[in-house]
Amino acid sequence: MSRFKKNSEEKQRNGDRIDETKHQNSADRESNGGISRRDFFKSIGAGAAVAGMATSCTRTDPNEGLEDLEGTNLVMVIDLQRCTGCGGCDIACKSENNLREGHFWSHHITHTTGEFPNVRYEYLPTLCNHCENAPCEKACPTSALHKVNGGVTAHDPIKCIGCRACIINCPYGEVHAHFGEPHSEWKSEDELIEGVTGSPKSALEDTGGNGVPYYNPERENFGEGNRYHGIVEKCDFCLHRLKEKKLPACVKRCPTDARIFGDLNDPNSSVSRVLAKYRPFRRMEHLGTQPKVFYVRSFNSAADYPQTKGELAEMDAERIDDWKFSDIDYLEAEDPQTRNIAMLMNADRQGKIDHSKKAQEEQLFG
Amino acid sequence: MTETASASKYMERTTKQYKYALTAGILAMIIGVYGVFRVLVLGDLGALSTEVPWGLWVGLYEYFVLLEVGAVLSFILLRYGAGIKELSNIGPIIMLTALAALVGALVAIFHDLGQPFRIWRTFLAPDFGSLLTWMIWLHLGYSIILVIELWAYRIGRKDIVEKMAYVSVPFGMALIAILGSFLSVAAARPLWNDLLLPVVYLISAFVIGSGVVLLQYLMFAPGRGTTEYGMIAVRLGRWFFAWILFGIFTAFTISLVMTYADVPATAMILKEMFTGEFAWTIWVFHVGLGIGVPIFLLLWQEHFESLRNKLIALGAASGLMVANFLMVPMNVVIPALAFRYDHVRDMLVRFDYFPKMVEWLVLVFVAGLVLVIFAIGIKLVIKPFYKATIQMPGISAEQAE
Repeated sequence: MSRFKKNSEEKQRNGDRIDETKHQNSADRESNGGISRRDFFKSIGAGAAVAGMATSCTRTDPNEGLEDLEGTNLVMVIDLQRCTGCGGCDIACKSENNLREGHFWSHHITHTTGEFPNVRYEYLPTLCNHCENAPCEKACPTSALHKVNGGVTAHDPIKCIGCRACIINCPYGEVHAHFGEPHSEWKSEDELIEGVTGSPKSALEDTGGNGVPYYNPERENFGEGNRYHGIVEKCDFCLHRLKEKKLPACVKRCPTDARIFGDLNDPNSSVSRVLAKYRPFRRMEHLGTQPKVFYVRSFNSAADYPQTKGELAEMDAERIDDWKFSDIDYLEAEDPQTRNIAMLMNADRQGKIDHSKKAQEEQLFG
Repeated sequence: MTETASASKYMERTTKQYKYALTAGILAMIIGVYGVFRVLVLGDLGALSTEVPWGLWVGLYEYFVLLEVGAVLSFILLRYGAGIKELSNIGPIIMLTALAALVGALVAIFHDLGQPFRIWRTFLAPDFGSLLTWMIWLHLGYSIILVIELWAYRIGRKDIVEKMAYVSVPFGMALIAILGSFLSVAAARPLWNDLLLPVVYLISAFVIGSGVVLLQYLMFAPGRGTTEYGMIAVRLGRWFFAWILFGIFTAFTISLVMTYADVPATAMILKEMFTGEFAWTIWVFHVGLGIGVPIFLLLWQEHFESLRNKLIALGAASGLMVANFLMVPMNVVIPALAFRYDHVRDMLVRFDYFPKMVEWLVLVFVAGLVLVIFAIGIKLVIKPFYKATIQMPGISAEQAE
């Protein structure tokens, strides 16, 4: 048989096969209302993919586990005269939320002015303000940043596309971008002191942590345990702890009870009573974001007015010396206003407003 | 016979332009593809950080948006508003330029996303309270309009071309308004938080748009060498010059107001922009090559006797301005993020940002992609359009449409 004949027979066979397939396809098309089986499965596949994506958009209930907080207005009050600036809140937050190197959901601003011995030092603890009128939430195109019960601004890592519009719009710099592999520094095999200390990697292996030796698995109760590349992250008032009727880590770990947390809708809560008593300030109030982190009992700000920048502190010495006296000394003061202030301070000291963590937990969780 | 020879010469030129654009585009894409790999596979986002979360890619995105809308609005204003019928034959080129720029804008911003493959969420679960969502959806609408417009040019449907041109105006204006508002609503960024920013963006769009119309006319309009062609080019040059002056007035007024008020949050940043480490980006590219040299060329060409020299000067002026206009959105976006006024400490805080190699590579890739799309458009739309319409050098508007 010549090669040509062989080829033509092959072509013929192939042609028959093609005809068969065509016939089959047309039969399929008839049985499926004019479309082929392949097309039919393709459409089913595409439909399923779209349906899957659409389902995943609404899969989670943002308030799951937070039902008890419905109708509450959670706020934090930071008493600046109780705060010692120890930074315990920052460390507690970092360990609680498995934060990566360089990220702080609870942080602080420090400011020193003047020259020794006339020096002023200011310490302002900072965190996400969970603004009522949150610009980050407004800017988010996928509702990854959203409000949950208690008025807390929460972040859903699954919905986040990493556009970082929230960072741009947050006036407080409290939203952080997550680039690269989290905790990659803990993969280093370099020993701090060769032959004496272990390496970060060995510490990680010894503790069996997930990416970081101090890994806290409880963080997985809300969102991701370790946030991954490309998304943003921020403080959420420890929603995973609130779900379990626990105070946020920074509040719980504060050694001086400077952080007071509770429901502003409850007139008997510590936060309500403290805010009723002291005139608070909030960060950048002029922007209208209505932050839910309040500061009370501020020292004279080092930056607000030129005369308080330290240069004139010497002239102010008399006022500073006044602090040495107890407010009890002023209970007998002639000036009625001074007497009133002293009475209020004294009343506070006598425990009329209970700031203790136990009281806060009882007020919030019953 | 002469007419046929001119038409065939024109088609030959268009074929050459197609080949150049395609070759340059593919080369640029090959150079930049490593950057794309690093971003999309390895998640490398260059020098971007929490402090400076937007940089080169957002600037590039804004540049392309200004270009895509500005070119179309300028063209429509000149063609249908001022009634310059001779411009009809560059209609498809302008629409194609806009579409290529639109794709460039979207691809640039796609790389900027931390999780780019979740972009579908903005379509299936959008939050229309966010201006970003509006921007994405308006882009979708605008791209559909441009595709229909190009298709209408290809099949020679004058009625659809005209209708879609009118439809594109509100869409383009809305896109620019949202682009400007998106920045101006950010109370956290005093440099952007200005009521005028959307209007400034619209003026900027017209500045670059009139430059693009002039440049594309010089490069692609048939009838090169004729007096009519030269006359139109000179008129477009004057129109372009007027818009540059308008742009300078706007930028100068805003800078003056911000500096005069001496509010630290804006005045200190502006001072840093004009005199700081990266001030050369403004003085060399933005002001020097983007405004100064083009103005000089536009004024100088008025005294030229030779039409050829006039056209060279006009081409150089528009080319320089369009290329260096990239520095405008860069200088809007980056300094506002790299400098932050700290109210507690009463000082300006600076965060370092200079684009890394991966960011430049993506820029090269995007530029290449824009050229490739432009080249494909020349083959699919421009050549069939001109084949059907061009019979003589000074083609009439009716024939063109």
